[in-house]
Amino acid sequence: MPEPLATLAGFSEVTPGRLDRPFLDLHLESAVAALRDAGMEASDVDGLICVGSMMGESIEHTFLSEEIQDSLGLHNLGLQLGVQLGGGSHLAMLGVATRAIQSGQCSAVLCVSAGVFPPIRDVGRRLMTMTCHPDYELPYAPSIPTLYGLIAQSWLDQVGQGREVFAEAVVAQQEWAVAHPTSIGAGAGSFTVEQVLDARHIAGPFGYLDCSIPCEGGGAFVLVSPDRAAGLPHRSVHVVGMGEGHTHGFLTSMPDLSRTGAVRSGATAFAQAGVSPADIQLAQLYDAFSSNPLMLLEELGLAERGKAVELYREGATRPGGRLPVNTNGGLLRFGHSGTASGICGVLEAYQQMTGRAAGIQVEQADLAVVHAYGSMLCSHVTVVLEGS
Amino acid sequence: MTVTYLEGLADPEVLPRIDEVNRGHFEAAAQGRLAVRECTACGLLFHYPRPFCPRCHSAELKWTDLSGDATVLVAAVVSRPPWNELPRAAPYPVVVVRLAEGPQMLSTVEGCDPAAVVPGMAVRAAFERVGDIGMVRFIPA
Repeated sequence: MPEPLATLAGFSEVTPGRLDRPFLDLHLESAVAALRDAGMEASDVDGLICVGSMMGESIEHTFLSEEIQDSLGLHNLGLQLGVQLGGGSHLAMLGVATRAIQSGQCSAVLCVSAGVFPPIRDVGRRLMTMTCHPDYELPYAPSIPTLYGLIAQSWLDQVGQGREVFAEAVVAQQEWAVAHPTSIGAGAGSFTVEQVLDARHIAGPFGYLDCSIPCEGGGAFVLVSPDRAAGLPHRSVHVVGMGEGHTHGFLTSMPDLSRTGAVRSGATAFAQAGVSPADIQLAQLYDAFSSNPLMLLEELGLAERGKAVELYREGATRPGGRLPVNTNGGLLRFGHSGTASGICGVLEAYQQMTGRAAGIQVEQADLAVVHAYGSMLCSHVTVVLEGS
Repeated sequence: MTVTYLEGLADPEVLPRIDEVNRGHFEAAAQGRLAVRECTACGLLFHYPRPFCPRCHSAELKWTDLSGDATVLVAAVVSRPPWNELPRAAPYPVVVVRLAEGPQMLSTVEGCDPAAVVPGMAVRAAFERVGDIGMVRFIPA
């Protein structure tokens, strides 16, 4: 049995959409709801971590974690921190909280991230300034789908496959999304591979349906010391392994465009958990674009190189399959909440593992992997969760 | 070989910011040369320009003109421009190329059917002057 490092005690999730709510209020509502779900009060919390502003929410939120701390009346914390690792921030936050609990610095850490991803048409140039090198990449006018597309196309070229394999991931995730009550993409109904391939072209191997849906959203979770697990209102879900892998800061410097730091982060996390990728029953993989689920399944060792598409074609990743992937529809179909995007995978895994899935409940969810990364597949974080 | 100059591609609102670290690269490009940093301590040729060698961290660097010959590593055709005000027309191919002397860089390939830009394609540097500086792009070799 893997050794529990820390234990998830409760969660909350913001319904994704265009919410028109103040940035700080979304955090406070998420935090309060997660504590309530964990059956805890403000006085039970001795750690607070949030994710720093990413989408230029406002300079007034430079000290967001302090704002949250103060607004919630948390006046005796042993840890308070804002982290920034792009889409990888949320798993990095989980990692910091886990280590703080392991070291005895804290016994209960509240982790919160709510955020926005404005419509692309409103923020195109500013968005690009944030995600590529402003002097050596930006002036050539790549879009985010272009940058991801270069990596995805490189992977396709290496494994000898075409963009239709990515469509398999969109189709499968839409099956999860249509059954999820708050998934943004649910209303579109089921997709076929042909539909995905025929959607208007955006860049590289990606059409419109290969891209995630920008929205507002997020949520919060509470992480406690494993010795407090017995008193929790829900099934205990333990963090049993963590890993990170960082290979580059800008796409230009990527040593191999078809390989990522997920190889290192996954191997580290599985080794710490003492489990094999083959043991995993549930995967939540950060999917800003349709290429990611397949690439990451292979980089993490859940499929051999070039073989992930077979998992999709045999139905393994779909409802009822043996390896459900992105069971709320993922960022592709549930929604990509920008600053908060990476928290969704943790929250969905936790809901599944406590038998509280909002959409389709998977039958066997005792061992899960959650993976996310920041920027252009730069900053990879893998977490292995075990339910008991 | 004659130098090829391009025009009308760059967005005048989105140009490189010139500073003491990178001025040599962008001024060379305005004169039709592809200049990259060479570390005089360990010999590494690298792009993009940085204040320290990314291999040995020496600050003893010089500018070296390269041949401009390169090979496309991967290409992605942009159909939906990244921002609405972009003056150039889509589609256009964004590429990562491997320069003959080693470094890789992100750029575009011009002067051919975007769909014809594929991995392994031989290209050579072409230059777009924008004011006092130049941007390095590529054309079929």
